Amino acid sequence: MKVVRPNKLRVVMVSASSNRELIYDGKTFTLWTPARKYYSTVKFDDTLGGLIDRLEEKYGVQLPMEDLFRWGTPDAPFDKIESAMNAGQAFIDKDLCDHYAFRQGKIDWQIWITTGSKPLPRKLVITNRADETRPQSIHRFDWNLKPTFKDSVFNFTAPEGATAIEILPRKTN
Amino acid sequence: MKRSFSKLFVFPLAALVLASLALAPLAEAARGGGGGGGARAGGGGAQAGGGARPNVQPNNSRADVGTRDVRSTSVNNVNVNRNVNVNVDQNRGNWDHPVAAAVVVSAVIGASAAAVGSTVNVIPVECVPVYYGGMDYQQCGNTWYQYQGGSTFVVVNPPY
Repeated sequence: MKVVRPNKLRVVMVSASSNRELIYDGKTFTLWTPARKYYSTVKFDDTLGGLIDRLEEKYGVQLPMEDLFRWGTPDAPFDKIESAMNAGQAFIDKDLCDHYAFRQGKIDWQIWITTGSKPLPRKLVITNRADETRPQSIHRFDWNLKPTFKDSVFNFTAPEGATAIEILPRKTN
Repeated sequence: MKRSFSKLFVFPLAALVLASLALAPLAEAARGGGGGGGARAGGGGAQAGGGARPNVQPNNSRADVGTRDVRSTSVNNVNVNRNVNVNVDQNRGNWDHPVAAAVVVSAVIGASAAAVGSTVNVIPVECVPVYYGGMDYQQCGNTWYQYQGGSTFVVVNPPY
Protein backbone atom coordinates (compact mmCIF):
# COMPACT_ATOMS: atom_id res chain seq x y z
CA MET A 1 0.00 0.00 0.00
CA LYS A 2 1.55 3.26 -1.12
CA VAL A 3 -0.10 6.41 0.15
CA VAL A 4 0.37 10.14 -0.03
CA ARG A 5 -2.15 11.92 2.11
CA PRO A 6 -4.62 13.39 1.53
CA ASN A 7 -5.55 11.98 -1.86
CA LYS A 8 -3.14 9.53 -3.45
CA LEU A 9 -3.15 5.78 -3.09
CA ARG A 10 -2.00 2.56 -4.68
CA VAL A 11 -2.98 -0.71 -3.08
CA VAL A 12 -1.79 -4.04 -4.37
CA MET A 13 -3.91 -6.90 -3.10
CA VAL A 14 -2.51 -10.36 -3.53
CA SER A 15 -4.43 -13.42 -2.46
CA ALA A 16 -4.59 -17.06 -3.44
CA SER A 17 -7.61 -16.42 -5.61
CA SER A 18 -6.90 -13.13 -7.30
CA ASN A 19 -4.59 -10.16 -7.61
CA ARG A 20 -6.02 -6.68 -7.90
CA GLU A 21 -4.85 -3.13 -7.62
CA LEU A 22 -6.61 0.02 -6.53
CA ILE A 23 -5.06 3.19 -7.89
CA TYR A 24 -6.08 6.76 -7.12
CA ASP A 25 -4.26 9.92 -8.13
CA GLY A 26 -6.68 12.43 -6.64
CA LYS A 27 -8.71 12.64 -9.85
CA THR A 28 -9.26 9.15 -11.19
CA PHE A 29 -9.83 5.91 -9.38
CA THR A 30 -8.88 2.70 -11.17
CA LEU A 31 -9.59 -0.91 -10.34
CA TRP A 32 -7.06 -3.08 -12.18
CA THR A 33 -6.89 -6.86 -12.52
CA PRO A 34 -3.49 -7.65 -14.06
CA ALA A 35 -4.20 -11.35 -14.64
CA ARG A 36 -7.14 -10.57 -16.89
CA LYS A 37 -5.93 -7.18 -18.06
CA TYR A 38 -9.24 -5.71 -17.04
CA TYR A 39 -9.63 -2.27 -15.60
CA SER A 40 -12.31 0.22 -14.74
CA THR A 41 -11.90 3.89 -14.06
CA VAL A 42 -14.12 6.27 -12.15
CA LYS A 43 -13.72 10.02 -11.95
CA PHE A 44 -13.43 11.16 -8.41
CA ASP A 45 -12.30 14.22 -6.54
CA ASP A 46 -11.97 13.95 -2.80
CA THR A 47 -9.73 12.84 0.00
CA LEU A 48 -8.95 9.20 0.69
CA GLY A 49 -11.62 9.15 3.40
CA GLY A 50 -14.18 10.39 0.90
CA LEU A 51 -13.00 7.87 -1.67
CA ILE A 52 -13.39 5.03 0.78
CA ASP A 53 -16.93 6.03 1.67
CA ARG A 54 -17.92 6.43 -1.95
CA LEU A 55 -16.41 3.14 -3.08
CA GLU A 56 -18.17 1.27 -0.34
CA GLU A 57 -21.50 3.00 -0.70
CA LYS A 58 -21.77 3.06 -4.46
CA TYR A 59 -19.75 0.06 -5.61
CA GLY A 60 -19.47 -2.19 -2.60
CA VAL A 61 -15.68 -2.02 -2.89
CA GLN A 62 -13.83 -2.21 0.39
CA LEU A 63 -10.27 -1.14 0.95
CA PRO A 64 -8.12 -3.28 3.17
CA MET A 65 -7.53 -1.57 6.50
CA GLU A 66 -9.58 1.42 5.56
CA ASP A 67 -9.69 2.56 9.18
CA LEU A 68 -6.12 3.72 8.78
CA PHE A 69 -7.45 6.55 6.67
CA ARG A 70 -10.09 7.61 9.15
CA TRP A 71 -8.12 7.59 12.38
CA GLY A 72 -6.96 11.05 13.34
CA THR A 73 -9.42 12.76 10.99
CA PRO A 74 -12.80 14.33 11.76
CA ASP A 75 -14.37 11.31 10.04
CA ALA A 76 -13.48 9.03 12.94
CA PRO A 77 -16.66 8.75 15.02
CA PHE A 78 -15.77 9.30 18.66
CA ASP A 79 -18.89 7.87 20.19
CA LYS A 80 -18.82 4.17 19.34
CA ILE A 81 -16.51 2.84 22.02
CA GLU A 82 -18.19 1.44 25.10
CA SER A 83 -15.17 0.55 27.14
CA ALA A 84 -11.43 0.64 26.87
CA MET A 85 -8.46 -0.78 28.67
CA ASN A 86 -4.78 0.03 28.73
CA ALA A 87 -3.33 -3.47 28.57
CA GLY A 88 0.26 -2.46 29.19
CA GLN A 89 3.16 -2.88 26.83
CA ALA A 90 4.35 -5.63 24.55
CA PHE A 91 6.77 -6.16 21.72
CA ILE A 92 5.67 -6.33 18.12
CA ASP A 93 8.78 -7.51 16.32
CA LYS A 94 11.44 -5.24 17.80
CA ASP A 95 9.14 -2.34 18.57
CA LEU A 96 7.94 -1.73 22.09
CA CYS A 97 4.23 -0.97 21.82
CA ASP A 98 1.41 0.23 24.01
CA HIS A 99 -1.41 -2.26 23.94
CA TYR A 100 -5.02 -1.11 24.21
CA ALA A 101 -8.24 -3.11 24.14
CA PHE A 102 -11.63 -1.71 23.20
CA ARG A 103 -15.18 -2.93 23.17
CA GLN A 104 -17.87 -1.70 20.77
CA GLY A 105 -21.10 -3.63 20.86
CA LYS A 106 -20.36 -7.20 19.78
CA ILE A 107 -16.90 -6.29 18.58
CA ASP A 108 -13.73 -6.32 20.64
CA TRP A 109 -10.60 -4.86 19.17
CA GLN A 110 -7.06 -4.44 20.29
CA ILE A 111 -4.32 -2.28 18.97
CA TRP A 112 -0.59 -2.14 19.54
CA ILE A 113 0.93 1.29 18.94
CA THR A 114 4.65 1.94 18.95
CA THR A 115 5.74 3.69 22.13
CA GLY A 116 7.63 6.92 21.74
CA SER A 117 7.91 9.65 19.14
CA LYS A 118 6.51 7.66 16.19
CA PRO A 119 3.23 6.25 17.46
CA LEU A 120 2.25 4.05 14.52
CA PRO A 121 -0.15 1.12 14.73
CA ARG A 122 1.80 -2.13 14.44
CA LYS A 123 -0.86 -4.71 15.08
CA LEU A 124 -4.64 -4.84 15.13
CA VAL A 125 -6.81 -7.73 16.28
CA ILE A 126 -10.56 -7.65 15.81
CA THR A 127 -12.75 -10.22 17.52
CA ASN A 128 -16.40 -10.72 16.68
CA ARG A 129 -18.26 -11.64 19.86
CA ALA A 130 -21.58 -12.00 18.04
CA ASP A 131 -20.45 -15.42 16.86
CA GLU A 132 -19.80 -18.01 19.53
CA THR A 133 -16.68 -19.18 17.74
CA ARG A 134 -15.21 -15.70 18.24
CA PRO A 135 -13.76 -15.25 14.77
CA GLN A 136 -10.76 -12.95 14.71
CA SER A 137 -8.91 -11.02 12.11
CA ILE A 138 -5.31 -10.18 12.81
CA HIS A 139 -3.41 -7.47 10.99
CA ARG A 140 0.26 -6.63 11.19
CA PHE A 141 1.64 -3.36 9.89
CA ASP A 142 5.13 -2.68 8.65
CA TRP A 143 5.84 0.96 7.93
CA ASN A 144 8.31 2.47 5.54
CA LEU A 145 8.75 6.04 6.71
CA LYS A 146 11.26 6.90 3.99
CA PRO A 147 9.51 5.71 0.86
CA THR A 148 11.29 6.18 -2.44
CA PHE A 149 8.42 5.85 -4.89
CA LYS A 150 7.48 8.65 -7.26
CA ASP A 151 4.06 10.23 -7.66
CA SER A 152 3.73 8.43 -10.97
CA VAL A 153 2.87 5.23 -9.13
CA PHE A 154 -0.52 6.79 -8.51
CA ASN A 155 -1.26 7.21 -12.21
CA PHE A 156 -2.72 4.39 -14.20
CA THR A 157 -2.07 4.02 -17.89
CA ALA A 158 -3.76 1.05 -19.45
CA PRO A 159 -1.15 -1.33 -20.85
CA GLU A 160 -1.46 -2.59 -24.37
CA GLY A 161 -4.12 -5.27 -24.70
CA ALA A 162 -5.97 -4.13 -21.58
CA THR A 163 -9.76 -3.99 -21.68
CA ALA A 164 -11.88 -1.38 -19.97
CA ILE A 165 -14.85 -3.09 -18.37
CA GLU A 166 -17.90 -1.78 -16.62
CA ILE A 167 -17.98 -1.42 -12.84
CA LEU A 168 -21.52 -2.12 -11.74
CA PRO A 169 -23.02 -0.03 -8.95
CA ARG A 170 -23.91 -1.99 -5.86
CA LYS A 171 -27.47 -3.26 -5.95
CA THR A 172 -29.46 -2.68 -2.82
CA ASN A 173 -31.87 -5.41 -1.94
CA MET B 1 -12.08 -62.40 52.59
CA LYS B 2 -15.46 -60.89 52.08
CA ARG B 3 -14.64 -57.87 54.19
CA SER B 4 -11.38 -57.04 52.50
CA PHE B 5 -13.08 -57.20 49.12
CA SER B 6 -15.67 -54.56 50.04
CA LYS B 7 -12.92 -52.31 51.40
CA LEU B 8 -11.09 -52.53 48.14
CA PHE B 9 -14.21 -51.57 46.32
CA VAL B 10 -14.74 -48.41 48.34
CA PHE B 11 -11.44 -46.87 47.40
CA PRO B 12 -11.92 -46.57 43.64
CA LEU B 13 -15.37 -45.09 44.22
CA ALA B 14 -13.92 -42.35 46.39
CA ALA B 15 -11.31 -41.66 43.78
CA LEU B 16 -14.03 -41.28 41.19
CA VAL B 17 -15.88 -38.73 43.29
CA LEU B 18 -12.69 -36.78 43.80
CA ALA B 19 -11.96 -36.86 40.14
CA SER B 20 -15.33 -35.46 39.21
CA LEU B 21 -14.93 -32.66 41.74
CA ALA B 22 -11.60 -31.78 40.25
CA LEU B 23 -13.03 -31.73 36.76
CA ALA B 24 -15.71 -29.13 37.43
CA PRO B 25 -13.48 -26.10 38.07
CA LEU B 26 -11.28 -27.13 35.17
CA ALA B 27 -14.17 -26.97 32.76
CA GLU B 28 -15.20 -23.64 34.15
CA ALA B 29 -11.76 -22.20 33.72
CA ALA B 30 -11.70 -23.30 30.13
CA ARG B 31 -15.01 -21.59 29.43
CA GLY B 32 -13.96 -18.37 31.10
CA GLY B 33 -10.77 -18.25 29.13
CA GLY B 34 -12.67 -18.58 25.91
CA GLY B 35 -15.00 -15.75 26.71
CA GLY B 36 -12.80 -13.03 27.99
CA GLY B 37 -9.39 -14.14 26.91
CA GLY B 38 -9.25 -12.21 23.66
CA ALA B 39 -6.82 -9.67 24.96
CA ARG B 40 -4.53 -12.25 26.41
CA ALA B 41 -4.52 -14.43 23.33
CA GLY B 42 -3.65 -11.43 21.22
CA GLY B 43 -0.85 -10.49 23.53
CA GLY B 44 0.64 -13.94 23.23
CA GLY B 45 0.63 -13.65 19.49
CA ALA B 46 2.41 -10.35 19.72
CA GLN B 47 5.20 -11.79 21.77
CA ALA B 48 5.62 -14.80 19.57
CA GLY B 49 6.48 -12.52 16.68
CA GLY B 50 9.49 -11.10 18.52
CA GLY B 51 12.80 -12.64 17.67
CA ALA B 52 15.87 -10.81 18.91
CA ARG B 53 14.86 -8.18 21.43
CA PRO B 54 16.30 -4.72 21.81
CA ASN B 55 17.59 -3.82 25.24
CA VAL B 56 14.40 -2.26 26.54
CA GLN B 57 11.86 -3.61 28.97
CA PRO B 58 8.09 -3.36 28.73
CA ASN B 59 6.70 -1.03 31.33
CA ASN B 60 3.34 -2.15 32.58
CA SER B 61 3.02 0.23 35.48
CA ARG B 62 0.36 2.24 33.69
CA ALA B 63 -1.65 -0.78 32.62
CA ASP B 64 -5.14 -1.05 34.00
CA VAL B 65 -5.77 -3.41 36.85
CA GLY B 66 -7.95 -5.51 34.58
CA THR B 67 -4.89 -6.50 32.57
CA ARG B 68 -3.88 -8.90 35.33
CA ASP B 69 -7.18 -10.67 35.24
CA VAL B 70 -8.69 -10.28 31.82
CA ARG B 71 -11.21 -13.01 32.46
CA SER B 72 -13.19 -11.33 35.21
CA THR B 73 -12.74 -7.71 34.26
CA SER B 74 -12.47 -7.60 30.52
CA VAL B 75 -14.93 -4.73 30.57
CA ASN B 76 -13.48 -1.75 32.40
CA ASN B 77 -15.41 1.41 32.94
CA VAL B 78 -12.81 3.64 31.45
CA ASN B 79 -13.87 7.12 30.56
CA VAL B 80 -12.61 7.44 27.02
CA ASN B 81 -12.18 11.09 26.21
CA ARG B 82 -10.43 10.84 22.92
CA ASN B 83 -11.23 7.62 21.22
CA VAL B 84 -11.01 6.27 17.73
CA ASN B 85 -13.33 4.20 15.71
CA VAL B 86 -12.65 1.00 13.93
CA ASN B 87 -15.07 0.06 11.27
CA VAL B 88 -14.96 -3.61 11.85
CA ASP B 89 -17.70 -4.59 9.51
CA GLN B 90 -15.39 -6.29 7.10
CA ASN B 91 -17.05 -9.59 6.58
CA ARG B 92 -19.57 -8.79 3.93
CA GLY B 93 -17.20 -8.14 1.04
CA ASN B 94 -16.27 -10.60 -1.63
CA TRP B 95 -12.64 -9.69 -1.67
CA ASP B 96 -11.09 -13.03 -1.13
CA HIS B 97 -13.76 -15.62 -1.10
CA PRO B 98 -15.13 -16.27 -4.55
CA VAL B 99 -14.67 -19.99 -3.93
CA ALA B 100 -16.52 -19.85 -0.65
CA ALA B 101 -19.35 -18.13 -2.43
CA ALA B 102 -19.27 -20.82 -5.08
CA VAL B 103 -19.52 -23.56 -2.50
CA VAL B 104 -22.96 -22.37 -1.52
CA VAL B 105 -24.69 -24.33 -4.21
CA SER B 106 -28.18 -23.15 -4.85
CA ALA B 107 -30.77 -25.81 -4.20
CA VAL B 108 -32.75 -25.23 -7.35
CA ILE B 109 -30.88 -24.71 -10.54
CA GLY B 110 -32.74 -23.47 -13.54
CA ALA B 111 -32.73 -25.64 -16.61
CA SER B 112 -30.58 -23.23 -18.56
CA ALA B 113 -28.18 -22.13 -15.81
CA ALA B 114 -24.92 -23.94 -15.25
CA ALA B 115 -24.42 -25.59 -11.85
CA VAL B 116 -22.81 -23.32 -9.31
CA GLY B 117 -19.36 -24.62 -8.50
CA SER B 118 -18.83 -26.31 -11.84
CA THR B 119 -15.89 -25.23 -13.94
CA VAL B 120 -15.47 -24.68 -17.63
CA ASN B 121 -12.57 -23.84 -19.90
CA VAL B 122 -14.61 -21.96 -22.44
CA ILE B 123 -17.31 -19.47 -21.53
CA PRO B 124 -20.19 -18.53 -23.84
CA VAL B 125 -19.51 -15.77 -26.34
CA GLU B 126 -22.26 -13.56 -24.96
CA CYS B 127 -20.46 -13.20 -21.64
CA VAL B 128 -19.60 -9.68 -20.57
CA PRO B 129 -16.80 -8.94 -18.12
CA VAL B 130 -17.87 -6.67 -15.28
CA TYR B 131 -16.67 -5.60 -11.85
CA TYR B 132 -19.07 -6.04 -9.00
CA GLY B 133 -18.14 -5.45 -5.37
CA GLY B 134 -14.52 -5.14 -6.40
CA MET B 135 -14.36 -8.57 -8.06
CA ASP B 136 -14.30 -9.24 -11.76
CA TYR B 137 -16.92 -11.56 -13.20
CA GLN B 138 -18.02 -12.86 -16.54
CA GLN B 139 -21.73 -12.26 -16.69
CA CYS B 140 -23.61 -14.44 -19.15
CA GLY B 141 -27.30 -13.78 -18.70
CA ASN B 142 -28.17 -15.33 -15.36
CA THR B 143 -24.96 -17.28 -15.14
CA TRP B 144 -21.93 -15.69 -13.54
CA TYR B 145 -18.38 -16.97 -13.83
CA GLN B 146 -15.21 -16.10 -12.00
CA TYR B 147 -11.76 -16.58 -13.39
CA GLN B 148 -9.83 -19.31 -11.60
CA GLY B 149 -6.43 -19.03 -13.25
CA GLY B 150 -5.15 -20.82 -16.31
CA SER B 151 -8.10 -21.13 -18.65
CA THR B 152 -10.55 -22.16 -15.95
CA PHE B 153 -13.73 -20.37 -14.96
CA VAL B 154 -16.01 -21.41 -12.13
CA VAL B 155 -19.75 -20.84 -12.00
CA VAL B 156 -20.63 -18.74 -8.96
CA ASN B 157 -23.83 -17.55 -7.39
CA PRO B 158 -24.94 -14.25 -8.91
CA PRO B 159 -23.46 -11.55 -6.67
CA TYR B 160 -26.80 -9.74 -6.52
